[in-house]
Amino acid sequence: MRTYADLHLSPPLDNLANARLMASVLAELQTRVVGLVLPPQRLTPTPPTVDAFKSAGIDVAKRLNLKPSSREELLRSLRRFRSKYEVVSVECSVPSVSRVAVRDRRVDLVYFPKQQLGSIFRGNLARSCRAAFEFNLSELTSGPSFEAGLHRLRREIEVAAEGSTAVIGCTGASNPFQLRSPRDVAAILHVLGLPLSAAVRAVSDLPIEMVEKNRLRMIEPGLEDGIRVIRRSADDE
Amino acid sequence: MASESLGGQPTTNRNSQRYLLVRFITNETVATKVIEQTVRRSVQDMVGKLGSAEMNVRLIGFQEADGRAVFRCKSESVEKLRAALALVTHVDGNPAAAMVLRSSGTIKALKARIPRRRPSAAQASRVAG
Repeated sequence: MRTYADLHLSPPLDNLANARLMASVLAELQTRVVGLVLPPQRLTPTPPTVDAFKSAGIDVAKRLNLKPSSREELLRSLRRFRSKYEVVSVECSVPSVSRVAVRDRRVDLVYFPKQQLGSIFRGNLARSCRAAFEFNLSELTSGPSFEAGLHRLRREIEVAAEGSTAVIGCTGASNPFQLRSPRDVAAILHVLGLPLSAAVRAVSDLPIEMVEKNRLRMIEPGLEDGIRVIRRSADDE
Repeated sequence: MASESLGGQPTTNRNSQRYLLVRFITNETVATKVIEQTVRRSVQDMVGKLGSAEMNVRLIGFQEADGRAVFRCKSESVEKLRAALALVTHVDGNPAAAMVLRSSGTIKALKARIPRRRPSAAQASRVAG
């Protein structure tokens, strides 16, 4: 059976009732892994919201949303926080930030807000993109112009496919009404032009692999991609 | 077999269908008709009236108590129906969400989860088309 993930949930961290309701809906939808947005100042002690999800049998990955206004700010934040989070997403609202964010291997997800005029996922960015392109359903449903949002998203998915950039689908939900089944998010991606197999991977295998890879990195920060510690000799210990 | 063809001609005109079990999350209890209208509007917003007619979406049953519904559509339109349902944000002016819990090729597999609606011929209305 396929395991699904939703790497972008941003419930209010002090509203436990809301979190419990979201957790019960996610459990019903068979979402096994979620990415919960936690600002650095709320990282320790762990907020009770995280426990609400864990008690429903959902694996919680800590997610950081970076909204840098310059390249320097982005690099500073990555240096400071990367090792503390399982998922790091960068909002690319400025072209100088976009250019660095798509290339930096410490960035997992890049997100292009629809409200910003200069923030577009273009071909030159897609070709050099090492991070995955993030699609947020809540932005599509809550935006002012639905048709324009669909048109833009369709073009961005096309660009991502041309540049062989991975696409990840999320809900960006902050309450139960914004939650959707990951398979339904995949259906939207498919309707917008992504092949069905890639759309389903965008809400299942890709996000889960991303979380697992980052967890390994957090345990062994010195190791490069693809290298794992299988066993240690007695001398090392 | 029904699906075999004779000289390139299909032996039956029957299209294969797909059934979806959908959960609606709402603040208040909503009527079956409202659900039907909401989904029809969402489908038409996404694929237009012609696309909606081609999808042949029908509401088979709706349980008002727990907000579970069964929809039927052409098997090639399942992804479009899923997408249209995911884009439902309001029902009757109140915030709402629609989520597909299960998809099946037969009504039997979903029957245990929801009682079937049998409206009179006059009341029966299509969601699309």
